[in-house]
Amino acid sequence: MRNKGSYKVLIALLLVVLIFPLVNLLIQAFQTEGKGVWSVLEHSTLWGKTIGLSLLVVALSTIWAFGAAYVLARFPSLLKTVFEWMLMLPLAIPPFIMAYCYKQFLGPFGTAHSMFDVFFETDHYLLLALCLSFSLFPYSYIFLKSTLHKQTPLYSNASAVLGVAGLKRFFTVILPLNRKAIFGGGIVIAMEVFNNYGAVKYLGLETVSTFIIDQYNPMQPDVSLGMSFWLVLLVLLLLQLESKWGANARFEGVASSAYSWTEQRKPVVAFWAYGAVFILVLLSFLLPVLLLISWAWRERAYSFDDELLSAVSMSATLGLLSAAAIVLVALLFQVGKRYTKGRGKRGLQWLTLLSNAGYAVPGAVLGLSILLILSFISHQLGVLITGGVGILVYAYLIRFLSIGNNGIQSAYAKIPNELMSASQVLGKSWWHSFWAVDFKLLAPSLLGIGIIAFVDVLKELPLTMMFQSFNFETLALTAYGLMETDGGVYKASIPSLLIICLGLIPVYLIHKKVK
Amino acid sequence: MSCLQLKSVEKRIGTNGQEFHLGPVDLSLDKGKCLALVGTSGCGKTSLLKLIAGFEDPDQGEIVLGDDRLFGVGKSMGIAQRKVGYVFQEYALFPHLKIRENLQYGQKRKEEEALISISKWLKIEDQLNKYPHELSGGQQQRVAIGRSLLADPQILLLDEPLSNIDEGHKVEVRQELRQLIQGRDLPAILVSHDLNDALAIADYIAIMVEGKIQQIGTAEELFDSPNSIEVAKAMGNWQIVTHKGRSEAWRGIEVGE
Repeated sequence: MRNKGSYKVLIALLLVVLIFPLVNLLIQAFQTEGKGVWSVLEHSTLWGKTIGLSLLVVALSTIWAFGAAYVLARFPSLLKTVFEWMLMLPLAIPPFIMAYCYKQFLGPFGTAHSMFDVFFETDHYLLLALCLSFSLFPYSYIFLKSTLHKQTPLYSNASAVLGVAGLKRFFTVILPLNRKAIFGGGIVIAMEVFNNYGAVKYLGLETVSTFIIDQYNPMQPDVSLGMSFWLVLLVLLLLQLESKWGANARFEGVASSAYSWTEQRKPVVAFWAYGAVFILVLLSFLLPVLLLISWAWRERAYSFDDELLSAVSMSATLGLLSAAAIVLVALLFQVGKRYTKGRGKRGLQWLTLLSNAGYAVPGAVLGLSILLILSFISHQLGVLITGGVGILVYAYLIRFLSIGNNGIQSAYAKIPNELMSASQVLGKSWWHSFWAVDFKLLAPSLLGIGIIAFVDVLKELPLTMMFQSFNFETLALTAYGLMETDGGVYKASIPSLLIICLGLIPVYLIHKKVK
Repeated sequence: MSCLQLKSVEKRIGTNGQEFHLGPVDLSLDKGKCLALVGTSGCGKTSLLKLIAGFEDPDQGEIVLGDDRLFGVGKSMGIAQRKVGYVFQEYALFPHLKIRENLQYGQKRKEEEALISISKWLKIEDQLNKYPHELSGGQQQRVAIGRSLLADPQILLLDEPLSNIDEGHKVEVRQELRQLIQGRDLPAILVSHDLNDALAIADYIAIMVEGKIQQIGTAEELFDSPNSIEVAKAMGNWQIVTHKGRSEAWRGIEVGE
């Protein structure tokens, strides 16, 4: 690649732009006047609630995911393919929409109240944990599905042939062998719980994330900054644990296609097992979607008013701009990583990893870090800058860049290095070779990455709320806004359904890839 | 009296047009003897072992091991009750357990004496506190055999146990395996696609072709009098002489020296 100097300057600039807000936030947490990082001591109950909630959600999600993946692996049937697909569908429902469905279904004056004359108090952490687990368990399911299908049967058979069966085999072999997958899924889910804003807020509850946003005061940001510092530390600790476990060969079994699970001799067991999986699919996808459809039908007269159309158009604009930015910046990083040699390659690998930090950090913390920069710029220029399309695209770029980085990295892994060399040996320039070979081969993956980023932007709530400008609506904001108004609560079902329908596209792409 | 007996064992394997029929298989094996099942990939060798171990059930036939009917008359004994020692091609050592725990996994009572004795015999006494991934392929194989033997089996089934050993070490490992099997008064079935494994380790060789045992006998018997071109090919192409002639007696291919 020619012009290496200008490429390095560009990468360095991009990194400063992407990482500076977070670094600045962490420094500010120590420099701020007031309690700063020590504010954590006053909010131990809130930390306890947040960590307790994440543990409960991880436990519930793991039970759902393990149970479902085990049943599908253990009992091959014609229904297996259908259920494999259906168990991925809850990924299309953002947690705040899941919370909305259950609150309006179970709560006072809700659908269950009018139909069966029963209702529940919905401002409860248990309901929140259930809603979050229904939305998030597929993350764990994706991890477990693979090990339970490919590795576990060999060891399960080895255990049985050594005379150990039943529960003992389950606890001494099957469960420990899947420890890494359980832990990997659990970390992702815990991070999603720390990140969640919409579902927590909608059920009238509080976690550290909602507290950081609610307590933020530009004149006195010390408490929010202090809490953000500890939240980032907690997430980093989780990531460290995951990488330590991930590299541990003790939890790596051998995949074997020669051995499958032993034949199930009691069809009635398989029947009940599939029944339980159906209940999970019902609660995590079918029921919420059916409720949304019935509410949307009731509100069909308002279905496509101007407000909704403008929200759709704004969401599409934001999504397209952000997806393009994510794909472009990630491509810059990954191409550099692939074609830089020597020490520079190592440095770029590190920097790319750093540029992924935005995804690990909860949205509330990221939002706060950008707010600090904006307030600094506003102060210097004497002009108030609070948000807008440009700021939002910037925020989404930091948040979702890892989707681009990871996606292009895995797509590049399948393209042999020799292809570019072959093109250059045949007399073509580096740029021509890149366009004719690498880019053409990467194009389908880039499109897939763009779609996944587009839909993630569409579903993102806390960042959009923080940086929306006057008279600015997106689908997620419209849905959330309507959910909170007494008069229009059921109208929220229409933008919610639109979000779910669009969310199904990346779910399909992920399902195809996992398969 | 034979220790293992298979009577007309049959199984339809695979789905969606990729089906093949295993059997009918009839064979018997005495204590202390080793039978090698030899054949190309997909001929049904491992499938036959799976039926004996109980990972899958035959469609029909009968499998008897000592006094126990493992399968027959519509009944199938549970895998955990069969007392079958099975050495997997991938060894299937539990990666999360130390070698000591792997070896003792199938023991009803954790007898330290038996553990030490077998680990010395298998030359792995220094490896007991390590994890499987810290051992070489040959050491892992010995642990897998030791684990099977400590569970006190009535038969030893070995599924391609040498496929993960590099060529340089195979001669040595074959000798070890031969001594291990002879040292225990157990019947053993070895599955291999490599004739050299069978010649070095087994007392009898069964050549399997498309799900059926084409011929069974000692190595000499199969070399000297193969009953078909497939068996002759399996025992080594060098002894096949092709001849085109008009005589009825010389039609096709004659097999011999």
